[in-house]
Amino acid sequence: MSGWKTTAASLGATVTSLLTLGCCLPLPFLGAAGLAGASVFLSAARPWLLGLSVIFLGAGFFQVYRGMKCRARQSRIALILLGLAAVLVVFMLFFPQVLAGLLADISSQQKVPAGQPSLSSLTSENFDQLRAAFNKASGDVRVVLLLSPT
Amino acid sequence: MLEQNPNPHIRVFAVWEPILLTDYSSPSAGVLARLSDPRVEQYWDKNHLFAEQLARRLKSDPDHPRPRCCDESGIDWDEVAVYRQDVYWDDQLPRAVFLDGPVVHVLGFANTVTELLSKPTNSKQRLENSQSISGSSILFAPLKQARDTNDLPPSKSTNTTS
Repeated sequence: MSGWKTTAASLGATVTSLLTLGCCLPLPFLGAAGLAGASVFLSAARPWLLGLSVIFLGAGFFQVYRGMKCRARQSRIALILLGLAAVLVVFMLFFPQVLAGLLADISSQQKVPAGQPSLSSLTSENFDQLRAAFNKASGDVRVVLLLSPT
Repeated sequence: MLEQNPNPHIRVFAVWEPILLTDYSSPSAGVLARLSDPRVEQYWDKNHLFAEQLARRLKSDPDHPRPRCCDESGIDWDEVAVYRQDVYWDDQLPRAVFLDGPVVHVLGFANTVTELLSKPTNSKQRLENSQSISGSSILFAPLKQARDTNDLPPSKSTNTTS
């Protein structure tokens, strides 16, 4: 009886934690699912969704704990799902960009957004490429952003 | 900033560099997609070459704007630098008119960009004039002149960009 409750809690935690990725995935990914525009909502709802994931996870573990206390037989599938959900939620809490990036790479063949030159990997040999691009844009206001990917 | 300012005379160079433990590879498509405007060029600077250039400029130029943040083992990151239209990068990175971080807290740099766009420089005017007069030697002369005078305040000449 508690097996399906644990599974439901695990699935709830999985779905809500995956929904938090909506903010960070490229729109075509969501658009394909007919959810374009949802990313704005999902971005705002991210803390609530993560909270909900943790609650679902807590409910799942509580079911397992209660089952162990009653010496009830635990469903192996339910336990596996709960474990996977726990890993996913922890990942979503601490490394959301890494997971979003991996999923985006799977869903998108193109690295940079349309209209931009391809991503250049700078080395001491080709560093002049950046200097040349900077000087070529002379006449425009140039903004340089120094960023970390995660 | 780019969404609010459709002016085509803005060019953004996004230089991604590994700083955090999780920066083990170049930015993914999902990360790059966060800067989706076609006025952006994106670079992966694994060896912090741009940060080195910036550090060199800061060291040699005591009057250069100083960022309030962020430095990781001597490497500048999570910063935004804004450069005037007429500056030229030769041996050394030119002086920025704005340099600060973290990016998310210094969105005021957008005001600097707007100000610069409303005050085009002499060199741009001269560049346009020279294009109508003669060939490549004259064409590049204003750039060199701008390079030589890049520490002067921007000119308040005729507005040609807006």
